[in-house]
Amino acid sequence: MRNYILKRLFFTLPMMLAISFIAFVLISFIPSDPAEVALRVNEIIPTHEAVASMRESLGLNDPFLVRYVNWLYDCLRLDFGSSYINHNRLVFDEIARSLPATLKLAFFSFIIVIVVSFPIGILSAVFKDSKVDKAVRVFMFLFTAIPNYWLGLILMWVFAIHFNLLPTSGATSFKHYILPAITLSMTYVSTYIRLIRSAMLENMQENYLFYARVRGISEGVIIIKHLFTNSLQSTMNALGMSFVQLIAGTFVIENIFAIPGIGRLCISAIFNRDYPIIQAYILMMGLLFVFCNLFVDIVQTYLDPKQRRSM
Amino acid sequence: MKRLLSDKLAILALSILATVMIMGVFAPFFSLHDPLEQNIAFKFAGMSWEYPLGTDHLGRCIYSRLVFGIRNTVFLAMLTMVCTISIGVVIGVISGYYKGVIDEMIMRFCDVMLSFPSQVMILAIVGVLGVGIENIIIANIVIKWTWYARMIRGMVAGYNYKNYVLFAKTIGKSDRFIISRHLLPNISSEIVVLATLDMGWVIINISTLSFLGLGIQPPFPEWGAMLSEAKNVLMSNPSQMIAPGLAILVVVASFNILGDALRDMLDVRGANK
Repeated sequence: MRNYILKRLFFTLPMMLAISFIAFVLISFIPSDPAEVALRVNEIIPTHEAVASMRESLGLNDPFLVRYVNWLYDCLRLDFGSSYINHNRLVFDEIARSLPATLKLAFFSFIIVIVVSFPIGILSAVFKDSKVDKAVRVFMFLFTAIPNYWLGLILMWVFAIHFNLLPTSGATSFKHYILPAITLSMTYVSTYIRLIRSAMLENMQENYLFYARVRGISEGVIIIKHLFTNSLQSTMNALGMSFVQLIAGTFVIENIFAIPGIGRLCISAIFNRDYPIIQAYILMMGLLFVFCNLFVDIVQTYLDPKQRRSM
Repeated sequence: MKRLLSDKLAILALSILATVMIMGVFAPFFSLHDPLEQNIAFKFAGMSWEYPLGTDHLGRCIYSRLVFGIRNTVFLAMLTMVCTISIGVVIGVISGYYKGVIDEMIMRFCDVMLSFPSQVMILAIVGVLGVGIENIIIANIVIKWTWYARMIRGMVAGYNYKNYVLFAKTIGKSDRFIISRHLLPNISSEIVVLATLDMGWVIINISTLSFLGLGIQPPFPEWGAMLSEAKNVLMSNPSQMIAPGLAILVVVASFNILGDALRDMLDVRGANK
C-alpha cells in the first residue's frame, strides 16, 4: 500500500507542474503591461523611463522560462506577491482569510448531499416505479433544470425574508450557512440520487444477489450490505471529484449570500483586474483538484479488496 | 421522427422551444414596448394589458425584456454550442479518422483539459480576457470542445472499420469523400442528441455568469442579468424574480426532455438493427 501511495504521489508531480504552467501562461496573456499596472497601483505616472525601470525591477525582461522558474520558486515559499488594488495586502493573506468560509460551505453541502441523496437513491431503486420513485424522478428532473442561483433567491425570500427564520447574508454563525449550503447541494443531490439509483438497479441483476436470497439472508441486510456497498464503489470516485467541484462552484452562492469566501474574492478580483489573486486562485484550485483526485484513488483502492490484493 | 411525435411530452417541449425561437427571432414584433424604455412613473407596476408581466425597478416592461432576452440567453447559448461542436467535429474527425501520432497528441491534450474543473477554467479565462459576453462564450467553448472532440473521435473510430468505409477506401475514394458521405451523416444524429442534452447546461452557465455581472451588461436584457436586478429588490418586490427564473426553468427543462426523447428514439433504432 505504501509503495502504491508513493508511486501515485510521484505521478502527480508532472500534473502539478502542468497546472502551475497553465496558471503562469494564462496570466502572461493579459492585455495590459504588468509594469504599467504596478506603476499605476503605486500612483506613479507611467512614463517610458518609469515603465522601463519597473520592467527591470520586476524581472520582466528575463526570458520566459527564467521568469516561470522564479515565479514557481516564489510560489513554493507561498509568496504570491501582493494585490494590485491594495498593495499592502499579500495575496496569500487574502486567500488564507477567505478560504475557511468556502471550505465550511463546501463541507456542509457535502454532508447534505450524502445525507439526502443516499437514502432517497436507495429507496427509489428498491421501490422502482412506485409512487415514491416517480416523485423522486420528477424532483430530479426539476432540479437539473433550475438554475441554482434562482433557487438561492427563492430560498432566501421564503426563509430569510418572508418567515424571517434565517439570516440573508454574511457568515458569522452556523445559521448563516444553512441556506447557502442547501442551495449549493441541490444540484448535486439530484445527480447522486440518479447515480445511486442506476448503480443499485444495475447491481440488482447480478448473480451474487440471487445467491444471497437463496441463502435466506434478510432483504434489509441484502440491500444495505450487498447492494449498497457495491453501488458505493462506482459513486465513490464521483463523490471525491464533487468535493472539489463544490469548492469551485461556491462562487455563485457566495455572491448571492454575501459569504466572504475565495469564490467571491476571485469574482471581485476579476472585476478589479487584480491578476495576482486570479493567478493564485487558479493555481490553488488546480492543486486542490489534483490532491482530491489522488486521495479518492487511494481510498478507493484501499476499499476495493480486488485491487488491494493485486498490489 | 414518428416515434418522436408519439411522445406527448417531447411534442410539448418541441413546441415550447419552437415558440421561444420564433418569439426570439421576431422579438420586435412580439414585444409590446422597447425593452430599454424606462418609465419611472410606472415602476413595479402589476400585471395589466399594457404590461402583461408588470414592470421592473425602472418601469421597463418585463414581458418585452423577456422576449428580447431570448436573443441573449437562448440564441447566444446556441451560438456557443454550434462553435463548440464545429471545433469538436473537426478535431474529433481528424483524431478518429487519421489516428496515429496526431490522435495521441490531441487526446492527451484533451485529457489534461478535461481533468481541470470547468468552473475554475471559466473563471480563469474570463479573469484573463476581462468581463464581457464574448469572453464568456469563448470560455465556454474552450472548456467544452475537448469533451466533444473525444466523444466524436469515439464515434468515428466505431465507423472506421465498417465494410462500406473499407470498401470506399479500397476503390480509392478520397478521404474527403469518405468523411463527408459516410462518417458525418452517421455521427450527425448522435451529435444532435448530445448537443440537445447539453444546451440546458450552456444556458444555465451563461445566465449564471451574466447574473454575477460577468456577461451581458446592463441595461441589455438577459434572463440571468434580469434575475440579478431582481435580487437587488428582493426585500421590497420579490415577485420580480418569478418571470425570468421560470423562463430559464421552462427552456432548460424543454431542452432536457427533447434530448432524452431523441436519445431514446436513437437507441430504439439501434436495437432494431
